[in-house]
Amino acid sequence: MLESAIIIELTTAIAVIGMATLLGYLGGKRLGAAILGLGAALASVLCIGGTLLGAKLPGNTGGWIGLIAGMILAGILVPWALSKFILGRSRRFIAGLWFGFCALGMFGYLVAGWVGLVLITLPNLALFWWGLYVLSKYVLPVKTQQERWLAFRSLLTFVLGTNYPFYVINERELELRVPGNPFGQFFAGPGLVLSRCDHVPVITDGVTFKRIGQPGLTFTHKLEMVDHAVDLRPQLRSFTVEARTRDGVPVQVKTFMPFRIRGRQRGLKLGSSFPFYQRAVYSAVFGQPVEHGEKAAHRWDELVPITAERLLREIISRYTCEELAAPFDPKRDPRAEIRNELISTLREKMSPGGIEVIGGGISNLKPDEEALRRRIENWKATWAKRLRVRQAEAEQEAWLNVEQARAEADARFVQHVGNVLQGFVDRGETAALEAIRLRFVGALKAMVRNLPDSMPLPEESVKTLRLLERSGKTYV
Amino acid sequence: MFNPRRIWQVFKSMIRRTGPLVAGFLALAAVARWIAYDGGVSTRAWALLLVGELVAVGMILRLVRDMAARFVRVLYALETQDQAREFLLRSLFGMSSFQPYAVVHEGAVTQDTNSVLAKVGGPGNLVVYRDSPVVLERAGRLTRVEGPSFVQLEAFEKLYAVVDLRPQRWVYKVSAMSKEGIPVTCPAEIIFQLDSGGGEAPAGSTGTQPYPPDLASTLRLPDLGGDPFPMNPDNVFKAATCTWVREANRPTESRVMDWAGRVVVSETEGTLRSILARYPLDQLVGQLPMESKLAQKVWPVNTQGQHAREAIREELEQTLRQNVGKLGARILSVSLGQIQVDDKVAQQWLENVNAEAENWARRHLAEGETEIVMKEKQSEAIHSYLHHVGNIFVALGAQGQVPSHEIILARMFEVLEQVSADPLTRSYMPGETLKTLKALGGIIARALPPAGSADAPGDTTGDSPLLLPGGTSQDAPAGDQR
Repeated sequence: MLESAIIIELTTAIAVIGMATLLGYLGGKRLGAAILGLGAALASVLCIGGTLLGAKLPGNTGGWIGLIAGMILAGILVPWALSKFILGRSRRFIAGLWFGFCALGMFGYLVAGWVGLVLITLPNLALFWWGLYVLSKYVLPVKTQQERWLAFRSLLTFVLGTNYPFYVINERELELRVPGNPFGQFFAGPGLVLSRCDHVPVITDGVTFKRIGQPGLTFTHKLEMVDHAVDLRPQLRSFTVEARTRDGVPVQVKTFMPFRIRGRQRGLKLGSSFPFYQRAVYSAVFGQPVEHGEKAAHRWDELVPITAERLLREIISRYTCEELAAPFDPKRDPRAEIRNELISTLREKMSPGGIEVIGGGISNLKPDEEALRRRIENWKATWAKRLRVRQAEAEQEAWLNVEQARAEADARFVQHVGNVLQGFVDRGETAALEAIRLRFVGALKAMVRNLPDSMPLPEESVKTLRLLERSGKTYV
Repeated sequence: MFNPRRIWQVFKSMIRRTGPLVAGFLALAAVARWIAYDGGVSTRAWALLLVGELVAVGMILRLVRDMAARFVRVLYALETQDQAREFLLRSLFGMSSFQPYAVVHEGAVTQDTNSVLAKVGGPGNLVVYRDSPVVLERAGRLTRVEGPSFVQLEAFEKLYAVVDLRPQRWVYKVSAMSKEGIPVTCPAEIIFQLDSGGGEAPAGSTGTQPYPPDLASTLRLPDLGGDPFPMNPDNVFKAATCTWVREANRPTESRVMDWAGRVVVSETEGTLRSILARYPLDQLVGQLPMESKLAQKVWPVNTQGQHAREAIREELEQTLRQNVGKLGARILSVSLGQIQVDDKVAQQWLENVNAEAENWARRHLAEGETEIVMKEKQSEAIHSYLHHVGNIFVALGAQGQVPSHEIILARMFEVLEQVSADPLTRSYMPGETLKTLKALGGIIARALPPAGSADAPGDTTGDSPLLLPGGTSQDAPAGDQR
């Protein structure tokens, strides 16, 4: 009876050592295989030894008591020993795994002896690992089979506590979600970086550059850490530049510069991330200069304002304050000239650094208060003069209008009289003067009647008209 | 939201996925028992075996699920383990209810920032209203553009951006400089919208057409009953991805300049500033109403007869219409407010000059009103004429004489000839009238007694029998400015 039990235990021990060695190999290659294999062997020795010792106790249950004691001892000693090699929370996990295995083994054996071990314990063990593998597909947005395997390892090492750091990039900020030791060797890693479609991680080993990750999910390996999170969206920086003109007038100008990491033209489309060239990211990140006396380097997106500021100062220093406005040359727009020169020069300067300047603008070229006051005074004088000239021209025109109206009124008056007396001309010498006079006076009266009520004839003129009427009657 | 159909679907999915597995394990256990005991097992032992195996499988699956859920909770910073567990179950077996969901409305998404949808993404649902299409992403790639509908999110699919299709109105004060380099401020009102790209109302729309078809097409009016915000996916995509990111130290709400901000701040501000810089200040700040020709003489207008502000507005609108297409937008209207000088003293001075010039223009405008002036001048002409003719009564009356009707007639004609002798007046008279006057003058002259005869009436000066004082400034009637 004891012999058969020992044979079953030995068989099981061989199987366990084999599985542990395989698992160790998958987790840490040969050294991993050796460590886990030895651990399994130690546990097996303790269990078999316990069974043999227990068998010497009186009664039938001594073997079982010895086996259980061996299992407990192995559950304490082996995880403790393995945790010296496998860091993190491995002790607890290995202990849990061991006791679970023991419970399943006992269940299988009690139900159906060695057949139970094969048909019940082994499938249940496989179910555990298979379940973890299946679920690893649902914990990370994996795209390939290789990524799925890495996700499985991430899940497993996360449970063991031997994972490499897990990062999330959120709006240019690199957030450490799960701490980890990137130097871990056995059953360690991988780490990972999660980002949106518009960010990308730059990965180094702390000493040398390793690679540029990808938007979305990037796995990191041994010694790798995230050095930078690069935003692939166009960046807009606005800053005020203080410059001096050629004639020494201080000028302030607000400047706007949109730029981005160089990528394929028209590369942004559905089904892809924000476009970028890996070389451009590399140039931008590792071209970050350190200010003299400072330790931290400028970020890549600070380079554009720094360079633009220097260029703009240089360009403005070639203009006088008056030239910045160029009020007397209608064809010139100095602001546009400055902006165009700034953008084209900046493009050239930034291009080797992997940065693409995609536009830009400057706001008002605002001189100091004194220069501004002078400009305003000049303008006021010019404006007032021009206004006076325009007013004089308009006055002249108004006068001309009135004169024309007067002449037209006179002409209408004469024309009306002429029309009324036209008949007498046809009669020639036979026309009676009295008749002409009467018609003449009649025409005058008619015209007076047609005048608007708001413009009555002066009393003197009314009197004259009456005299003209009466004089004829007196004479007659 | 309880939905039996969904629950049934999830149940079916669970059975389909785990049923064979559990059944297989139970079968294996049964086979093991059968082999070990050659089938000689009591029913109670069978039951115990199956329950024991079920418990073992259940515990293993639960352990695996909890390990994965812990991973999800920590990695995605979820608040509770339950959220993570539910997420895994949804991913494995599908959604048993409409939750979790987020509503996208009025250009924004209403969801808890700690929700699974916000932190991990789908499976879940989006309720997208007609005014706010969305762009989605998954695993670092932009996946799709979705318009108004119930959108089912795939695993890890998240909202990337929401675009507001409603017309946007922005009033933005642009600081600029005139041609002389003097700071001015000009408020601009821009109304714009995401370009539907000629998106038509859905087929089957039968609304009446209150506008003529060609006008409705020009104005891009949708049919009644159609979609008030037709969507062009290309333009939605452009608008969602044209965002500019600003300095990290800015307040969160202004850290990103979206498509609407770019239309206004980037395009409008820059363009308007460039246009204003081409105009001298006096053209920018002319304030008088331009209905009068005289006012237009005093205040600057461009060659097309427009006031500078209108020309600026037109140029701005035209440039914006050309430029905002790259952002997927279209301009509905552009208007400009009063352009003001930034310097307070200069503005005050300008207002004084304006007031003065306005008064001046009003005064001259009143004098220049043609109809009124013409009536006035007609009255003056009659009055002046009668005044000069009436002088004969005054002159002869002073000598104690009464003028004969010939004398009066001669005087009337003499004054008429004087009036018509003015070259400007002649330019308005037809030649026929001049001939008539000349002929009548001849008739009257011949009918009168020769000068110097005893009958010659009114010879007061000895030079001309008819020439009487008058037409001089001393006795001209008031208002006769000739």
